[in-house]
Amino acid sequence: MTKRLVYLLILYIVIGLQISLASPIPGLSWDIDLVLLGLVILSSRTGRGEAILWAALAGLALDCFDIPAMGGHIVAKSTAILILGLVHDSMNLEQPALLAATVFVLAIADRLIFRLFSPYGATFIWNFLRFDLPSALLTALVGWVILMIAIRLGIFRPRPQDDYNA
Amino acid sequence: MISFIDFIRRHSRSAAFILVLVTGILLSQTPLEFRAGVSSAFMDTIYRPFSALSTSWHLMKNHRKENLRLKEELINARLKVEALKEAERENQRLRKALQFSQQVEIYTVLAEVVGRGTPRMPSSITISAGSDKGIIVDLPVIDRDGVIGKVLSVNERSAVIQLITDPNLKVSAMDARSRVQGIVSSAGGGMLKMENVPINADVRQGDLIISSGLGGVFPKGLMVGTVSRVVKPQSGLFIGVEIEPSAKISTPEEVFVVFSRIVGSEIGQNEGGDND
Repeated sequence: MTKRLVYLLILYIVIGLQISLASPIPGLSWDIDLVLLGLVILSSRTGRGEAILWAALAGLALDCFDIPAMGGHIVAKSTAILILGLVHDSMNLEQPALLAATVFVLAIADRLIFRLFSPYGATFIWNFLRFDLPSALLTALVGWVILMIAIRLGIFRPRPQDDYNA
Repeated sequence: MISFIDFIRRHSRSAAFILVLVTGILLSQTPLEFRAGVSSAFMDTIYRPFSALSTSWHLMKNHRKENLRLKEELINARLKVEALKEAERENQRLRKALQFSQQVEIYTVLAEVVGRGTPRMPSSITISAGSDKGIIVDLPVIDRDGVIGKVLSVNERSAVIQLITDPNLKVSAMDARSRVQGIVSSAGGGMLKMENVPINADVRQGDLIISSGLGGVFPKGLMVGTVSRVVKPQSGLFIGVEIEPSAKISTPEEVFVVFSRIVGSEIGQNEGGDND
């Protein structure tokens, strides 16, 4: 129970930072998805099903800032964490390149799904190329650094869950 | 039933995902008012600490920018003051050489506008400075852009200002370009007019009108307004000059009471009658 309260507190802080301070880079409007990175770390410490619920909770909080596309972040974040679960079950994410590629795929999936809920459907391709792709790359780059540090600190478990259970 | 619960347990990940997926899609289909309600409930409670943090952060950033801008302005103003001091010294030397007897020094006292209009005097404002700040009757009052009016009555901590748009106030003024002189008074509707301007005088639209210093209330050179229209009558001796006031007469917030001192004498030398 205490552990879950700590997770909630950390997620709360990460969401707050994402919304208030980690605003899009001035001029370019690219952003780093800190919440996704937080959920990636969290999912390595909780069960897969529970991680999806955490993702939904974080998504709901983000949705409060995107009223026209409400529900989009819930589905997008949960799907990304579901994909992570599938990848994590079968791969050892200790390899840096694989870790960065995984974060990139998750960020892309998250953004593409969110776009489906967004009311700006007419400019889907433009938005994807102009904002989503660079933001996903940026998230992968920063995420790789953060996750490598998290591995060193023992916060993030990059190997499949079975290895820890064995 | 038990087998269904077992099934859910065995497939917890898929079950959680389907649950979340359905919730998300349903939420996206709710009316906008409902979504706005959910959002505002979140903003007002859980997000409040971060909104305060975010506001403080942005305020701090803006204050820093403002501070830098003001520093830059201060430096520019200091440079201008130095140049003006030099011009003043030169002026003093020249006055001495020409043996001019009088020299006027001007300074101001800032006051906030605390009231607009009184039942008896609709074209007036009340300011937050009174006799405690050395204010006396008939001192001229300006804002950043030009003449506002003059002090009509003084209390200990407040004073009533007669606005330049009051029909009873007249100001001796002149065209800053051609030096043609006249008397400025209210034309109604927040506009001013300059009277007693000869028909052959050189006054054009866009000319700046400044106080002429005659009459003793308003010192020479205060901005009064800009000529917005010149009307030349078919007959008569004078032209009609309509002026748009420079000062923000209708929405003053801070004003400056102008003190002028003849060098070597006491302050508050603005002794005059009702009008300039």
